[in-house]
Amino acid sequence: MKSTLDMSLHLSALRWMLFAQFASISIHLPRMPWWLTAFMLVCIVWRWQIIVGRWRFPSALLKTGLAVGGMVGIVVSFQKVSVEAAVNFLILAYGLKLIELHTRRDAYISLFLSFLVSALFFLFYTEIIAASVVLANAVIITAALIAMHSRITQRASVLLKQSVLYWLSAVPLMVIFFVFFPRMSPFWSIDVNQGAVTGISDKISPGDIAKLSQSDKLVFRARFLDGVPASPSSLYWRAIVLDNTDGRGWKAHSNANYAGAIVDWYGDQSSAWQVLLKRSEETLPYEVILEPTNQFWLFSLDGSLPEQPHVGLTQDFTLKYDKPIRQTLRYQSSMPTALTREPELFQWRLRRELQLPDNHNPKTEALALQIKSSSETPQQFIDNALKYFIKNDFVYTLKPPTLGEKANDEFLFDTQRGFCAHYAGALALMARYAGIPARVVVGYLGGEWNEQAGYLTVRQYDAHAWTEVWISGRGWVNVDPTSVVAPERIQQGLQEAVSEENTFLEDSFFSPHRYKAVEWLNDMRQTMDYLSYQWSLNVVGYDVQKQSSFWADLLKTWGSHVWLMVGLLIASAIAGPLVLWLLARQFRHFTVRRSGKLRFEQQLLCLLTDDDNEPEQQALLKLSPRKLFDMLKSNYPEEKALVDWLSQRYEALTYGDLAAGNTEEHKKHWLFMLKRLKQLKAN
Amino acid sequence: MSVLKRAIERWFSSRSPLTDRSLLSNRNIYIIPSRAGWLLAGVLLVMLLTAINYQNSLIFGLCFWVGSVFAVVIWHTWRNLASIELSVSEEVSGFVGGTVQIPTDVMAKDARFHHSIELLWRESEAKVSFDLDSALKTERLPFSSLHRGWNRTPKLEIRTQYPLGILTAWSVVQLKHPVLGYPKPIFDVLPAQYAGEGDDEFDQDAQPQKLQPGSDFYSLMPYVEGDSLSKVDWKRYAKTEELVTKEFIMPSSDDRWLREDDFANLDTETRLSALAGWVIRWTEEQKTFGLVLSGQDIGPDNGVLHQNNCLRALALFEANQ
Repeated sequence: MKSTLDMSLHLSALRWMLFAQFASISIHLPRMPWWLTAFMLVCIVWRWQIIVGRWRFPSALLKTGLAVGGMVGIVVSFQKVSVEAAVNFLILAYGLKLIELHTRRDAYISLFLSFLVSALFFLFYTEIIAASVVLANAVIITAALIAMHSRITQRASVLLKQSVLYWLSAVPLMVIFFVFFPRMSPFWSIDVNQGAVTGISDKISPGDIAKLSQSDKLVFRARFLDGVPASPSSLYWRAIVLDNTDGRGWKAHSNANYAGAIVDWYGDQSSAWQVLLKRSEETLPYEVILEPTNQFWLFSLDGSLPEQPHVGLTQDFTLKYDKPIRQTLRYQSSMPTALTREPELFQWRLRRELQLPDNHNPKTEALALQIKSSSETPQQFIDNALKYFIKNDFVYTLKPPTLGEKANDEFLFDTQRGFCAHYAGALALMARYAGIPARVVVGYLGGEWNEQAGYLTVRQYDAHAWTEVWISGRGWVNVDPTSVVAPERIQQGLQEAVSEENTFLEDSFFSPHRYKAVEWLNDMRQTMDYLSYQWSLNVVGYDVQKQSSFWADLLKTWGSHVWLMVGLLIASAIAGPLVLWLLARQFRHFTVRRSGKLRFEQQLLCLLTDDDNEPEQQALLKLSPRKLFDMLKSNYPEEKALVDWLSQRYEALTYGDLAAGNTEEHKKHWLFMLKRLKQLKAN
Repeated sequence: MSVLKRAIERWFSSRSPLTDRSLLSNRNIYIIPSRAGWLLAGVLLVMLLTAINYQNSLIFGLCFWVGSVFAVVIWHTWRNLASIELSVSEEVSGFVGGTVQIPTDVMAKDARFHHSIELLWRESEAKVSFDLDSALKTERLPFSSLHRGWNRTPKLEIRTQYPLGILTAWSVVQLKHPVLGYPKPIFDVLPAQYAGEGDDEFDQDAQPQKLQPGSDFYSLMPYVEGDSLSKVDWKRYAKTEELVTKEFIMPSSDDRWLREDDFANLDTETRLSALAGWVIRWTEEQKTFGLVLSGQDIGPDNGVLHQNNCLRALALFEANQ
């Protein structure tokens, strides 16, 4: 076993290597268990001490101990086989390699693995900023490789510049590969465990949505494929239906949203629920680019049907995916312009939607019965119930007071302050007490419409809850009590609705969403948002489907010439940088040679005339160089030898045997001559 | 395998004619991935599999980008070797059986700085590595399989792995290095007519250590590093521990001739070796002598220049090249 460093690398190369290794580890540090973080830092410090010769390599026993300990640590920390565990295992192995790096070959392995370790970051983060961080790492790794192969110590700026040059000139080829390399389906399937993701859940008690409203995290973006609806930001996006109440909060029916529930999957012959939807012919197609939620449900507009594999329709007329959404997902669907949902209700369904809580809210029930007695139809009941909210000056607030056990009674008669979920829950409960099937729907309302780019951005603070009541013959009807309490929430969004109490994103002082009134900030934010939208749509979301549709587009435009065109594209991607480089070289060649000569000639003219006598200088320019040197000789007769030398050199450089020399040499010649010419003047 | 190797070498020979100078360009630079390059390719394959399996566009992207950098670096590696000119340097000579350091002039014809260049014989281990710019550098490689006469040096390989070490660019050059092999000197052969006799002029000269002081011994000088050890007065050293060199006076009158015919009993190579031995010895003893080879007479003269002329004549005697 070797105990010394045997790499014949200079200190600068070793330092660069360590820097690159640290960089690729550092991006993973926040995701590691604390002990692994500490372990990696110790490895890096140890490595440095080995490099400077203070410490020795660990003994075989110690290394074995560390490896076994680390593996046990991974098993204990992660418990089961997951991507997270695998990544951390790789990082552990990488750290161990650091403290037993002896040979050049080890150094190569370590640096190449750094590329892989950096790439794994993308399993967890796919934003532009994540890509930039990984790219920066890759540039540093490349610079370390260059440093490793230099015999001399090069400046950091030189190494980085060179590395950046390589990465930039590789862009065209990379793009070609990225676009044309056939994407295929995975060999085996492993879930990337994302951990907890903020978002709506299948259980809400009053106040949950208010908490969610404190986040400006992106939920999804949507765009409309044929024509934009009149007000895209007042669309109701359904996620999940809650029809089981305990008198305080609402939750989804136990079998509603889990795998195994009856779902009309895309492509299935059976259509248990689709038949209950009476959709109009005319529809509004849309596409959603959904950020990972770790949940099964998809966000859809009323009456949407599954339009692609893995998507299904549930009994509550929401869409769901066949596995938890761990990565950005794109899906299309369409909303009918006219819709009737379930005009007849099954008996089991009627029982479920009329379920009453064991936790009785007597005052609510009394109120419901009182309103019912003054209403003839279910519709009238709803109208009267909404009027009750208006009449009693209910307040829409992001900071509702905490409610006790009989939450609805307290809300309706004592506090009278609440957020959308309070109103939706209270209305649904009142309807049920009055014998009208009702339930709460959770999803998103609103969002920001990006005018130039034409898409809707929906964030966590757009989370919303509303009520759905069933009226015989008309089916399920949406009723949003928030629309009567705080109409501005529907029309202008949450920020306006709570502008008076100033609670919008009050915990996130630095969120740019707070400052929509500051115009330049808002413009900048919208541009960034647009970029990240394009990023997730076209880069992160470039998959098998997108690739085949891209091919189809290409075939349509180029027809049978498609291969020729692609070939040309590839050829130009390879030849492009080369041609650019040649041009740049020619140009530099030209400018340097010219500028040296020009400066010399300028100085010569200044010597022959007054410094700023332009017309005279112009006249002199018409004379031959030899003539000019003759004049110079007569001006400085005692410097005849020098002027002769200058004249000879000038001719040699311009027409003679020196004219063919290389650029750098020329520059030196001209600068040297210029110096001598200035000396002449000084004498 | 060796058939293949020979075929490759033949191909290189046909691609790189024997010249005095050779400029590296796209005609004679070859490039393939190094071992580290294959290692990186392996890592990229793992990255690609990860990307496919997790359907991760960004890992695809990084994988393709590193791959493209690999491709771009082909050119940079090539450029690090291109425009370098190798040319033969001054003539070197050595005795058959010895080792000579053969100089090669290298210079970058463009104004760029060329990093980490390696120069080696294709069939031996020895190599030198250096950086290069437009200044002329002379790099030396050892060569020990000398034969008499003009030598043909093995193929030179010049290579580089800069900047990333994942690719090796190399070129094979055959330079006409002027390398002259002198016959390996033999010091204990007497001319045929003196063979067996022990008391004559030749014998006396053949064993300078037996020279009687006073014959053509002139004076003692303090030993200076570089003086021939055979001229040290060892007896005096034994007595006084003082190193002194015996200076011999130039013999002015009795010019000697070293004739090829004197060694007619030997075969050509041995004969030349014997002559070389005498040339060296007599030069060391600062004797004036002439060399008579069939067809040419050299001298009489003395000194190192004369020795070189003689050795050169011996080296080139009936040499094939």
